[in-house]
Amino acid sequence: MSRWIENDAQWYEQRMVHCAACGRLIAKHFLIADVAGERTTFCGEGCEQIYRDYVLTERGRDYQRPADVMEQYRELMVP
Amino acid sequence: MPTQQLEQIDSVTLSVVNNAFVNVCREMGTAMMRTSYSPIFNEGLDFSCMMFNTRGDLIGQAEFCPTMLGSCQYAMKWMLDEVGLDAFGPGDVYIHNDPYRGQNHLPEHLVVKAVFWEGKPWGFVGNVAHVGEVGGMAPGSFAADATEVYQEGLRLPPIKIMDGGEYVRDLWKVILSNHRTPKTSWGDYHAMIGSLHVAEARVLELLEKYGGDFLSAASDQLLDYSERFMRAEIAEMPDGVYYAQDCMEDDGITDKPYWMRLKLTIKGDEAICDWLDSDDQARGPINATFVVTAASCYSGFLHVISDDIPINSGAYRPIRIVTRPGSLVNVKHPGPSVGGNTETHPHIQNVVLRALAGAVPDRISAAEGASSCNFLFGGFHPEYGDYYTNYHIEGSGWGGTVDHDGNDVLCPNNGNCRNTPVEILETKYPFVVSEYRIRNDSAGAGRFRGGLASSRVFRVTAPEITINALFDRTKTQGPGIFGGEPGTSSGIFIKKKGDTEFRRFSEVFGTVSDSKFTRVIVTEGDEIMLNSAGAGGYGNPLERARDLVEEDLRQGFISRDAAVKSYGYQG
Repeated sequence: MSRWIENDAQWYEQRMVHCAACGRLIAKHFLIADVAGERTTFCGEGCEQIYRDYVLTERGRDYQRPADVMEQYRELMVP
Repeated sequence: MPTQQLEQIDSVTLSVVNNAFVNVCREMGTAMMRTSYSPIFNEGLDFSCMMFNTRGDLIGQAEFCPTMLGSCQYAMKWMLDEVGLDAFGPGDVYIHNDPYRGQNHLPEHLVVKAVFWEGKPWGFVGNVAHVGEVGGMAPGSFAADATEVYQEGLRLPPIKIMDGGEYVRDLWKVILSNHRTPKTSWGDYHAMIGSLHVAEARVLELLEKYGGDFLSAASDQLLDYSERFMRAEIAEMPDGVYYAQDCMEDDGITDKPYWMRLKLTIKGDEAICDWLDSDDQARGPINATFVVTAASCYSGFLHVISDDIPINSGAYRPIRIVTRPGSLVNVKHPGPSVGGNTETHPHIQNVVLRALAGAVPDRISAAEGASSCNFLFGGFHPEYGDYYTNYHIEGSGWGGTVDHDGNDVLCPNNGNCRNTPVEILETKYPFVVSEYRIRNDSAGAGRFRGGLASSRVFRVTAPEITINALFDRTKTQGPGIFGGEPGTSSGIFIKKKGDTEFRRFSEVFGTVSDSKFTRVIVTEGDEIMLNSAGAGGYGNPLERARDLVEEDLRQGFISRDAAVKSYGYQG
């Protein structure tokens, strides 16, 4: 279940909230959802969906790029 | 036309409406070009004009800068979410250049004006333009060694600059007090705002003709049409996961490369552009904002699909972006980002095309030169007396394709800007352009070669000029593809008066980077050479048609040695 809430930062504050899927900074209204037991912030329903369907399944919540990522990509790229 | 006609509008009428929106934007562009003060606008065309609906969706645009056209919806939506639709009154103009709130980098300012119809906003007309001087630590506001946004210039959240048609004078004073060339900024802001007035008049004519409800329905249906169009194009691509990576050679602060990496998933009629394997954000200003990365993804896909698609926010819906805040492709406050647009952006787009090569190999191009060769300068003009600054860019090569050589000496295709004629440069600024030529052997060889690069030499004619540079590809090369060779590197070099040869800036001035530096003082008689980068070739060079090799030889584009070595030419 997700719900929209408004960033309650004062006009003189710079409180930065990023979307958990696309990563962009969110303006004023953001979506809060319970995802796998954790309160997660999104910029919209589309990003919540991509987080559940792709980020969590393909990468995991706290994904860290592997140490040999450069070599992996080199092998996977078209020549 | 009856205003209640909201059912599916026929495709001919939709096409007429779309072309009317395009024409509104083109006319805005003409007004901007003819009335602006800076060469970056009236010659370089570093601006984009557009229309939005009241939800902030891009509904109209023309042949301007792809980077701005891909990102502007984010800036507009941010503005609407932050200040609210009700904040816009007739005659109000809002301005906004915050890179964290949807702009590509700090110099780009979005101005927007609501078009009112029957007492309420029908939509918005907007203009994004790269204002040539916005303060900060370096003349021309391209601080190649900035480590935070506050060094890059004056940052404006969405704020009202015109209130009911009247100047918000206090704000204008603050802005102009922070720019080195306030008179020029004054003229350029008025050109931007003037273009909005032109567009408003034209949109009102359309509203008179079609009615507000009909035009809103048409723009909504155009958004949906473009979404269906893009989905159909993606659905034709083979499902799969495709990978690509490239790097920025350094960030101006630390001498090490920074990598961007794309894991692209094509599944059904959607694409997921996952950048989570990219490096952390740099200390220097090569970081891309989120919207730069998003615009690169959109632009990459637009390059490989049919160009019949009406380009609007609907076209972007099937392309999903995944990034990590605090990475090279999504800078986090207060990280700097001025070079993330002009330099990192074309690299990112090349990475998108490289990944797409796995899906649609005959529709992509090899990597372009991918540096705008940003060269900025300022000082007091010895004849005119005023302080001046200028933002100068060079054209580089574009990548070879399956059936064409790459274009020669064009600004990166994410920018779609023009170069500035020598006559304009020499008239306005204390330089003489003593040389400007195509560099032979600069293109990556291929069945279809990359585009050629250029070389230009400026000779200083003032007692002193402060210069800044932000280049990339001086140590790396735009790679070829499918057997094509890489293009040559770019470079910026200095020949002090009395010297006999050009040298690196690190050697002469002790700069950390040879390609990214600020506040270097050059003096009368010094010469600066700007070499842009060549592009990568497509396919095996040995398969290049012999008549094309011979034509390149005749034109002087390649040397005989290169013809023999790269193309196996025996003639």
